[in-house]
Amino acid sequence: MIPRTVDGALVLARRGYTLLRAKRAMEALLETGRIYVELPIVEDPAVVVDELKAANIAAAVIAPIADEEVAGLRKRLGLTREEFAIRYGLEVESIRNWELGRRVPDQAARSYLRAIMNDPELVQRAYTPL
Amino acid sequence: MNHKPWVWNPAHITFDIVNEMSAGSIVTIAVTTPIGVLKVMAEAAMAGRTLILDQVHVQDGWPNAVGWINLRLIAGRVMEGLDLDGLVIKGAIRTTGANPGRRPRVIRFTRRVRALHTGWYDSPDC
Repeated sequence: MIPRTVDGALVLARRGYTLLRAKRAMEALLETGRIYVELPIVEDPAVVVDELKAANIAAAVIAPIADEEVAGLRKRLGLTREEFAIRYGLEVESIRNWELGRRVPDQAARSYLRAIMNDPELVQRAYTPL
Repeated sequence: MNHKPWVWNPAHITFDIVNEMSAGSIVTIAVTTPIGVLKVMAEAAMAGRTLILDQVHVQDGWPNAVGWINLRLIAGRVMEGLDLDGLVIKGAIRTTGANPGRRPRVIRFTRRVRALHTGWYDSPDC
């Protein structure tokens, strides 16, 4: 099925993307086959997925990482904040702020935390300098 | 559907600018043709009385649905409707349609009748 890029761009634009940014996103999708977007306004993620599906674009929602998930991940690994920071190359202060809900991890940090959640050993091996 | 396009009747080609999808440099045009409505989204700029449409996306067609002759007809209607002297189309890299992976060459159209603002063809003597 050929993606209906104009309709796809409209779906993103209705959720707070500028038209130019939405168009660029569609171009990236066509070129790479997969994109990640963080929409400023989402009334119902299922509606967004449905609308993109109608535009022949398969979409899935990546739920944001909650504050307690960061703490839960660290505790599940049996690590203190300092140990977690050293093992994965993060700042202790950032971890503390995320866990206490003072700060929200940015997109890159959320992706990294998600990767750690999915496979902590693999990420550790990938990160650890040889 | 995938067949060789026939030459359309220009009277059956109309277009509208889609306001909801036109802001800043982005312009979206719904072109009504004998094969249905084609949505065209592009980054627009003016160079004198020539409209330049860059990174053009065309939705709702199929490979070779329009064809060169009909594209010329659409361009003619747009130039006529917007009172332009020229239209330049720079397509985005094709991922579907004819020759995927290739960036289509720049297409330039020139209006054969001079633009209305000149008054050149308003004279009853012409």
